[in-house]
Amino acid sequence: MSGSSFSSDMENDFPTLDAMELATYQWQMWADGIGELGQRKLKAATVLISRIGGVGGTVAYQLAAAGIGKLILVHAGEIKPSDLNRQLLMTHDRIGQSRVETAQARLLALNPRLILELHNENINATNAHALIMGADVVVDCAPLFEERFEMNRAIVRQCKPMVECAMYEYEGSLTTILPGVSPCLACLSPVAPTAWRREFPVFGAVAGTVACLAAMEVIKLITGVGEILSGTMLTMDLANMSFAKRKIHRNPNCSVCKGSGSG
Amino acid sequence: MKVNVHFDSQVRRIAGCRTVSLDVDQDTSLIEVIKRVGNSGTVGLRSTLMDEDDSVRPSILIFLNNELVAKEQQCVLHEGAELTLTTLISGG
Ligand SMILES: [Zn+2]
Repeated sequence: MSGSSFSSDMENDFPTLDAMELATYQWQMWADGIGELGQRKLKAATVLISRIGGVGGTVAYQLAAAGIGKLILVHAGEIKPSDLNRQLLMTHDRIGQSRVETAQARLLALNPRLILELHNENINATNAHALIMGADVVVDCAPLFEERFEMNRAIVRQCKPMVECAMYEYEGSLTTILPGVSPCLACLSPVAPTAWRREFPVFGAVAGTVACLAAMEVIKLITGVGEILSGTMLTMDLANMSFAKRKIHRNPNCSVCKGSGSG
Repeated sequence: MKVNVHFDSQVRRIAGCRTVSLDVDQDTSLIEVIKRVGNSGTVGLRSTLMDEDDSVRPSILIFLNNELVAKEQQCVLHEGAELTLTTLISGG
């Protein structure tokens, strides 16, 4: 499915569901606005997830459960003990082994119909454009701002939607970038914060909360139900369970998205 | 008039508190309030919020009553304004 076909209601654009899929997704097809057509849209979609750690791993698991057709998983390296408090696709018995291959086994155990494309590398300036080319929707869960900014440049260039989700300690933030319509990452901050450190305080439950909300953004983008967080940043502080929807705006002088779209 | 300034993310960690309440003159500008917060806070807070030229760093996000404010925007605060100073976060 191309990125422009989200809104298509032409039934022939989407693959049909077999008997097992109809049985598996029966309860979610009852949700308002989904139905069998919505489920077929999910089956037709390809979603790229950058890093499958505490946030991205749970995004992948929820999307696999929801019946997304294909996931492109991008994450370098092997499992370390310090991953296991939050990276729920990883398991103790596979410490020292590939993260993406471990994720593959866990995701296919849940959903054997899922098509997976694995990349044992992280997003960088060289690979971002080609990797994102194959996706309808991108989910940004990278721990490094350099990776996030590379993803942002690539999705703006290709005009692909990106769910931008992140956490820190007890806090989380989430917005959906529609290039040319809503603010891109560089509109918000053209440079990485001086205070950011590669290693950060994290509970798996905080990362997982942000991840489930991000997965819902993806499902809404693909099926067209509900309202997405475009031009809005949802922030949450699970230390006191406060949530806020904050208005965000494009920067007319943004070095990345200036001149794209309507604003 | 009273203005509440909230800190999120790493800015909170550097500030060492969630919120400060300031009494400021009527129609004090947003930038003046941020400078005052930086000057009266912890050692690292001023350098986190402001650069060497005394301008708010480009990575600082300023929300006024839950709406993002551009740093170059000349903005006057009113009684009861809720200001949040934070940055993007990147934990994944
Ligand atoms: Zn932009």
